[in-house]
Amino acid sequence: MTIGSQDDPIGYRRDALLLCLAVGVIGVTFGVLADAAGFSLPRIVFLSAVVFTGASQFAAVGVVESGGSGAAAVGSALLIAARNALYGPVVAGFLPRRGPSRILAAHLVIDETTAMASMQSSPRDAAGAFWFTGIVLWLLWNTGTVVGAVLGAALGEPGTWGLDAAFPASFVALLAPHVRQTPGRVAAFGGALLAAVAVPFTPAGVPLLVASLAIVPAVVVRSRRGLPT
Amino acid sequence: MTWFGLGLLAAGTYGLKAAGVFALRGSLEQRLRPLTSLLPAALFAALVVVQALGRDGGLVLDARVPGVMAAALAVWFRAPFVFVVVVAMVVTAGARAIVGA
Repeated sequence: MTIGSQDDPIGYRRDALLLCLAVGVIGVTFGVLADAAGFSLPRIVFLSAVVFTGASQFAAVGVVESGGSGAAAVGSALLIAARNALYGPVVAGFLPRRGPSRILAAHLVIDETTAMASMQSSPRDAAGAFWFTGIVLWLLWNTGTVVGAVLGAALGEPGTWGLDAAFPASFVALLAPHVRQTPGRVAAFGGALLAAVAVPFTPAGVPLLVASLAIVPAVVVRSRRGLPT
Repeated sequence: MTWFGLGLLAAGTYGLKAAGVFALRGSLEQRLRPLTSLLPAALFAALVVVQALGRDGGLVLDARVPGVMAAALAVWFRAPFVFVVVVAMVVTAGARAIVGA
């Protein structure tokens, strides 16, 4: 891939735009599901614009749809959103130091922005990729949400288009630059293994937190081999 | 869901996002960078597992698996991002049409 290379400075924009388009289509399915679960349009829009963390939104709507309480919906959604607290330290270094722009930037700290930013080779590209992905994703996610909520069930079953493979496939591509060296491979393999083991035994969201422990063996491998950080 | 519940959720999700951003500043952020630089590898690999295999609190092998494997193959051959995503969707949709999983 050519993302963020010196020869292709707009590389991240093209790839980020595609990622945002795919997520925007997933936003349509969110709107459809939230509408089917009985959420009013203002509430659906509030979820996508202000809560703005996709997996948590799906969880909240799913709990309500299956007859769960509001408290259960908030609890499940927050557990899934907990991983965003781990993304903060990854992106903190190249975000604005203080002021309103850092407060706004925090709202955009999610899977996609962290992935697009952390794969760049320079802090300047990382900041650029973070803001570009964050703003475009916010716009397309909300556009998709409104389209889905308004058109509703007329759009049919989204799973039949293979859309549910688009997100994990995107993250296979976004993972690639992080596994070029041995410590990254150890972290990725360990994270995948820990998540797989944790999924059947823990509530949704927890496997991602457990997976973060995989950085421990990765750090050990890196220091033993004297590799740079 | 009530507006109170939605407000609580919004405050909680923003708090989680902001905690990581505002907890680490300056020298602490730099000292922890050797650790935090490995987080994307661990977290995104876990995200792939959860999104490709997870369903209703368990792991299942369904039409997403061949799609994501095709995507991994495309990444291995350094295919453009758009190709990676489209090939995954096409293979998954095709597998689903054939076996209905």
